[in-house]
Amino acid sequence: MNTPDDDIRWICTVCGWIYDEDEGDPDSGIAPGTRFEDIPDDWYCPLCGVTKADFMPLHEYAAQRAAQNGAPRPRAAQGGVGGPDSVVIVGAGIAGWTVAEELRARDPDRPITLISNDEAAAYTKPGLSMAISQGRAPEDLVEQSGPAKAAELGITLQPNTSVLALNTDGKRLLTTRGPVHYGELVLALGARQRFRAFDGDAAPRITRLNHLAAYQRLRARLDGEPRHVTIIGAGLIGVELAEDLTAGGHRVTVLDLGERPLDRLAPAPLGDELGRHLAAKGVDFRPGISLARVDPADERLKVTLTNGGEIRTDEVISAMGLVPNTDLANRAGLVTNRGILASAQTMQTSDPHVYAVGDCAEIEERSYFFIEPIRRMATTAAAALNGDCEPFEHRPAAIRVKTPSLPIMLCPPDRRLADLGRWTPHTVAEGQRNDFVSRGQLAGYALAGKAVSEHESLYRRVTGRVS
Amino acid sequence: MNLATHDTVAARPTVAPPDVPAFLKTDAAPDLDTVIRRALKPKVIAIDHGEYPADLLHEIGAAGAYRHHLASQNPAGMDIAAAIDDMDRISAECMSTGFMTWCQDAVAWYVENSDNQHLKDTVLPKLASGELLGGTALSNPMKYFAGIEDILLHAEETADGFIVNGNLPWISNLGEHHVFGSIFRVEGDNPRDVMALVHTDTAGLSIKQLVEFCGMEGTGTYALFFEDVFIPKNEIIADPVGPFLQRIKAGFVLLQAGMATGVIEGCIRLCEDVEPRLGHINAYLDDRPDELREALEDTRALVRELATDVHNPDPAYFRQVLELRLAGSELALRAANSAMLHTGANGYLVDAPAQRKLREAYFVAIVTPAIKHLRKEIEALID
Repeated sequence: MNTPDDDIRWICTVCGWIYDEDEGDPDSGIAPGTRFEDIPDDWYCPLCGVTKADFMPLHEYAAQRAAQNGAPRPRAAQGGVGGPDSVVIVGAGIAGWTVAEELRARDPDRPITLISNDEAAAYTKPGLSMAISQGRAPEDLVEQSGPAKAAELGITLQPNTSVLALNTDGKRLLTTRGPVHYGELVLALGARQRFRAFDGDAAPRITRLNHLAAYQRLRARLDGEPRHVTIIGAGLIGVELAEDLTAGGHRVTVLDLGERPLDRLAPAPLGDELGRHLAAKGVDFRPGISLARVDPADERLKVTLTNGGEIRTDEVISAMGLVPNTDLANRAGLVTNRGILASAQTMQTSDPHVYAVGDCAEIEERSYFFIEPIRRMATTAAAALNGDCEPFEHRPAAIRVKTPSLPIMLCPPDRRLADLGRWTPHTVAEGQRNDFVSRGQLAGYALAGKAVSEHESLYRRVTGRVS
Repeated sequence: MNLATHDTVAARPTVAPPDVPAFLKTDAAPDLDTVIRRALKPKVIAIDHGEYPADLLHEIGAAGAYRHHLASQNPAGMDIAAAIDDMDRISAECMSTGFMTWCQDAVAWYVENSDNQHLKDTVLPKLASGELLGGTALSNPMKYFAGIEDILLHAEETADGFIVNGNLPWISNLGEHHVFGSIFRVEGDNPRDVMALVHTDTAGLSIKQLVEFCGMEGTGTYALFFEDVFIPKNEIIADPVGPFLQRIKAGFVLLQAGMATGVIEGCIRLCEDVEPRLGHINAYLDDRPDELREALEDTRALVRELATDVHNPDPAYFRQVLELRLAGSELALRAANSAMLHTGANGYLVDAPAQRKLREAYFVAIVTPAIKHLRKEIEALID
């Protein structure tokens, strides 16, 4: 706030003590606000004892010194992670770890830093929705600890550190452990469950399940005795969790605004059949209903439904669909739509030194929330970072729904064809098969029961059409 | 009210402080920078040692620093970023005063967000203008809600109010004729947590200065003793307090960012001031002033972004607020360490600005929510 124009600060050129006119030198009887020229001549520097003659205005002194030594800085600051020669990866999900692996495989010497807001344990997220029926504790899902994996790959890991801001001009991040500079940056920020501000005093107790840590907390509350769980949303994650929790002895109510489970992904006959299997397992599915509010009720929760009904429950899990994490990119001015826009050629975003991979990325107006395409995105990014070119190729999604009571394989039609065709039941010996036919061509399918064995041949037909 | 003080600071050999020269005295309503230069800068050491600067706090209020974040009191509507910016500029000179600014902002924030029209009509304009000063006794309740401590105040409900008992340590920006926001646990048939505005002059309430801190002594920090203190229902801020806390918590925490950014600014200035003389040798240090300033500007930019959205109910937003608060604490510690190393022996003198900044930075890191508390809450919010 002191510009060079207001000479309110004078420096002792002998010891460096600074006289600030706003503060004066009360110990020597010089009142705050006393101009330097008004100080009596017998005053002396309170630190080293020299007189006024050895003082000069701070800004003049600074200019004089600057002219004398333009010496370069002798060394860079030590002790931080990252740096202008580093590839910095943000996020330790499948996408982030796979970029690290693929880049290390291509270049054994490239400095790589991975920053994660959790412990950075390597695990496969789809395992979360079948752990109970497989008899696995949350810890059993971890394939390798973050530090062990980082050591094996020869990369620097900064765990339990959140990245708050990205400055693309300065090529630096602001984290909860201070600034981090990068040469190239890979955003593997993932996605989170859509948030809705439900009414009720217990609304903050609604769980959104995306990280292993959140799943561990849920299991810690559930394990030990049978509970009642309310799940909002009968999409993939909703139905898989419902079946897994039921297998663990818990009672489950699933709410969905649609008419049947998997209403937005699968044809009606398949959703209906899944609904019957879930009901047989004891899952209480409530179609056309959502949650209105949730309040504390003794030690439990009271859920009020949109139709006025009430449920006493122990846990509410919100699984209304994934939303890519784009806050950081938005604030940095990167181009985003639903996700962070990335090139299929390289996974570069609108800033050439910033890449986006995994759930947070959007390629040609598509998001990919499944493991297989995420691994291929990581390969594309690692290749580009190494100066190679291995473009990401769009392929139809093949989704295995992890509902043991009814095996399901889905290959939904591409969104560009979704309005240009319809689902048709196809007679099979056992189970069910539904074809999505667009302009006379097979563009998708939905299989259940024994018919899932037809998946591979059908997938070849669908992809053959695409290529 | 029983106001007891210990023998604050040991007698120091000082000349009586001279008067402020006339040319710095003006009749016009002062702007904040003038108040900082004219009234605050000459007082920072006295405040650090124990002088509670009531007149200065009134002047800061007259300069408008306590009203920016209050939609009902600010002509331009709610502007959290402006409130934080003022706190930043104050804290750069004296974080004790920046902290008291936050205390004042916080208690006004409670009333602003309350449904109690009586308090909004009678107390809020005075808090916003700085005529009435006050603090926030929410450290213990915040730790209670985070599962770190038990709640310390308990109350019994009567027909027209509550009778409160218990003790609270270390509540700041208090004195005679002050107010503070306080949360107590109501026992009985309808157990719940309730928040009220309490006047320090209330019968049964005594405030005592029991300890001496290593700095920031002039912050009006007292222990509170409630002995059958009657709180009438028209002084209630929120009953029950749960939903109210959801509404205010992001603003409450975010406002504190001004203390952190101000301390960091003050530390960087100290490093910059010695750069002409010592730059050639300070170049061997880490966390150089230009690097710290980049990180500070990134932090301030994020403060301005988050400040536009303080009523966002998404836990992911609140997590970012906590992360920003954590980043501010960590950076303040680094900046203060850097100020000590850059200023060298001159920074080690009694009352040198660098070591005052060092003590202030530790305050940023340990005042509720402390770094450890923030890490616990952030971890719990990762979904």
